[in-house]
Amino acid sequence: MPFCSLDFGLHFDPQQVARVLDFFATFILVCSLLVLATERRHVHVRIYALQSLSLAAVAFSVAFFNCERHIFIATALIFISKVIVIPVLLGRLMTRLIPQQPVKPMINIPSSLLFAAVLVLIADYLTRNILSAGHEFELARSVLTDSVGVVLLGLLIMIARKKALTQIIGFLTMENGLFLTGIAITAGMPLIVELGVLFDVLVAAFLMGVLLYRISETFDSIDVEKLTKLKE
Amino acid sequence: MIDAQFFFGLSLFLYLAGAVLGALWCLRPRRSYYVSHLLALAAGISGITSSVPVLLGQSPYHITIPWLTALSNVAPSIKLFENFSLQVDALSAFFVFVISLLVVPVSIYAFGYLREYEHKQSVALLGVLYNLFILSMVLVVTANNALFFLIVWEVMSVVSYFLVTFDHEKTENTQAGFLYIVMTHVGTAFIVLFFLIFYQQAGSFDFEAFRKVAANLPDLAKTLLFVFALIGFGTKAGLVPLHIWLPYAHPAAPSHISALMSGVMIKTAVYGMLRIFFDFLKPDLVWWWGLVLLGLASLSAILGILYAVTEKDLKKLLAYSSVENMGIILIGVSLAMIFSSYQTSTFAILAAVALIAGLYHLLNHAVFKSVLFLGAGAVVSQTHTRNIEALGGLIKKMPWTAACFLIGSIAISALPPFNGFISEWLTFQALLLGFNVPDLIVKIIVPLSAALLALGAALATACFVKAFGVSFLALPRSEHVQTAQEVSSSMKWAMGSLAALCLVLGILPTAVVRLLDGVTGALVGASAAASMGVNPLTLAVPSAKIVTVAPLGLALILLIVIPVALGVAYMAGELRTRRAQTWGCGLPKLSPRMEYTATGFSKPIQLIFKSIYQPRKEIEIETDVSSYVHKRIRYELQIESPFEKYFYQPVSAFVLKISAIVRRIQTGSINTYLAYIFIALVILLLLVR
Repeated sequence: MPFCSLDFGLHFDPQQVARVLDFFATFILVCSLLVLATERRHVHVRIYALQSLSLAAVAFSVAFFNCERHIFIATALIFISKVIVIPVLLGRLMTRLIPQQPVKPMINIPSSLLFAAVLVLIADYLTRNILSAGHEFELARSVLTDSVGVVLLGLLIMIARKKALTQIIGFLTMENGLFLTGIAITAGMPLIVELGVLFDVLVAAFLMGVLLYRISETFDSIDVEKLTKLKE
Repeated sequence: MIDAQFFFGLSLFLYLAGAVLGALWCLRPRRSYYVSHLLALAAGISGITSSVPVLLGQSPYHITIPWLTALSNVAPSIKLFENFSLQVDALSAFFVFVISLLVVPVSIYAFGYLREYEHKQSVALLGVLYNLFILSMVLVVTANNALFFLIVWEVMSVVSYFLVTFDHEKTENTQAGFLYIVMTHVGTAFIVLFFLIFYQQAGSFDFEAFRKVAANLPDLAKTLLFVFALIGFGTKAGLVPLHIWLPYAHPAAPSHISALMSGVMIKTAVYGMLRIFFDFLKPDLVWWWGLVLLGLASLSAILGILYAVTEKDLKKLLAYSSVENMGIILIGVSLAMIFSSYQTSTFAILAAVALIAGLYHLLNHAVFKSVLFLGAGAVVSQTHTRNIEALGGLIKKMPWTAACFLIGSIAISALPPFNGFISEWLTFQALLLGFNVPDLIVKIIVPLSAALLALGAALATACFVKAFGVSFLALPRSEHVQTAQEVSSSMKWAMGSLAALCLVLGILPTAVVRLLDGVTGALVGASAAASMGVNPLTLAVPSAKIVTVAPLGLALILLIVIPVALGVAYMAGELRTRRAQTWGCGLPKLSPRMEYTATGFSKPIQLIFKSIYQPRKEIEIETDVSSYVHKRIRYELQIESPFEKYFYQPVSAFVLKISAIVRRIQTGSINTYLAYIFIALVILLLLVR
């Protein structure tokens, strides 16, 4: 069955392909910034779904343009798990959580955006030498920058926000960044690896959801600051 | 011929089955308890069957663990597990024998002892842990790979920790457990270091590779190996000053477990030392190694018994006496090390004698200490107190237990014709053989050590006269004793068979020495049995002047003399029963308050050794009318161990202080922890770029 570009007899300029990938990757980075810039958790979940959709688009592009057939399967799996299952799961969880007072974040929105800018610069600085001119994946450099940036931003989300739900979003964002690296830079890891990672994320999201529900039941809040009580 | 290898595998399987079945039946605690102990009993018998042929001279056998080999075939990268095998040579067989020998009566005892724990839901767990505990000990003494040894060693430590804290409702038990697990892990850390150094030299964790590399070790490595082994195994052996956990941990466990812990678990440390010093490092032995061990062992022997004398807790007293006996065992071992370090054939025979003394005492201590612990368990199960000041008069209520405890006490006090006498006599003779050593410092230390051993033996007698006299004789001191009854028949038979074993080991030393000769012969490379067993009746020590002892002959003479003496006395009319009141200084009625207390009995000894005990006394006198009329006197005596005061307390205070500082970075907030990770990540990324 014809699937990818070569099956259709189409040949694309690698530069053009790189540009397409870059577009989606940048969108993923922007999504992470958006999470930092908003406070509403419903929005967070939707942004995550959007980010994942974008990730699926990257995967699809790699599969289509580079003719890596097994990536199609990965694309489908990303779509099902990250665009549909996890957001639905988190959405349902939110309806069950106890409504609560707004929690003041650890770092407020303007400063965290400032931090985010610094982190993106660091990501750029870090990746500049890795894929230098003449490298096989030279064209993927800006994608790599984006993905390292997404990972760092994911971590920043986890640090800067106190709500457990947002921390889950941060974790998932980080994981998306890692996936982006895997797909864009290596033109697809072996299918078994991707399957494993996807399954891990699914389980992690599920477990964290359950834990979150328990935390909210126990502490009447999902403010992780309250967990400091457990220290004693 | 008996297939020893088959029985060894069978016993391992039975222990495992006991643990698994016990766990599966945990909803039926009683059945689970019985099944697991029954399987342990069968495994013990099977273990004896498997070890005796090797002791009698059958060649050692190897057992590889099939599924581990299969695992290394599936995943070749797991090289480490490839050589996990068990080896039963003479030394291992001896320890398997001692373990199995105790497991049989202790398992029988456990059937009756269940009543003490019947109210507990977790009684099934006791059976499971019991089987795992014994299994791990058997594996420790047969492991043929350092990594495997460490794993089973750790399993043994952890399982015994759970047994120590089995009665976790009492805070003193959980505290004892904590102290135990901390100390045992300190010891394990040193054993790990020991094996890592060896691994670095040998390039393999296999014991076989250790033996090969031993002859050409650098000096520094040798010294480190000795020090680490001494601290590592010394902790488990309860060697002074690493003994502090022992008097707390052993009494806390259920009594039949205490018997196994004192009887065999601490002896796995002796196994470790023998394996290391005589199997791996024999060509490297340096004379001062043995001397250091001799000094510590003598110190343990005297201090252990000194603390036992003043102890009022019956099981704690026994635990302190274990420290003493481990000292005596290690005196034998250390002398063998000193003799072996001269690497000549004459000294090899002396080493064989010393090692036979040590191993003989090890066997004896295993037997009589279990009688005593089982007896103490019987007493505690009836009276629910371990304080001997609250006991008394039990001999009338529990004659069997009293008789067995008495035999155990005589044996541990090293009085003939019981077994303790023979082995302590041999140890003493081995010490006197130390005068043959050319080094002057050895000649100075040896008589000191002999004096300490003699003093220890005398104090042990005082200690057990007190333990037996105060708990079993005279009038009951408290209402705890009122309801006491003789224990069930399974407990009686268990104690009785061990007591009988005390006598057998005491009057048949030549046979035992011949059995031990195979073990020591393989280790020191010389046989001493021929020169020691002059004839079946007489045991001799090879030296310039032949010294002999003939316990069997002595027993036979006693067998004749005692009836004759009794007969003569009967004829003379001295044996007619005459009932009368004990003279009470003219007071109308004798009450338990007039009895000699345990504290009072040990007071003279406490006065003599005041500088060691450093007692803290508190006397409160309430007066009435005038200062000459005392209404009530309260006397409190506390003995503080100098090791705890001057070494362990400062160390633990220091650790706590450091922990308090480190704790500041542990805020408990998830965000902070993530920030730590984040900062570390960014810095590392920037650095490696």
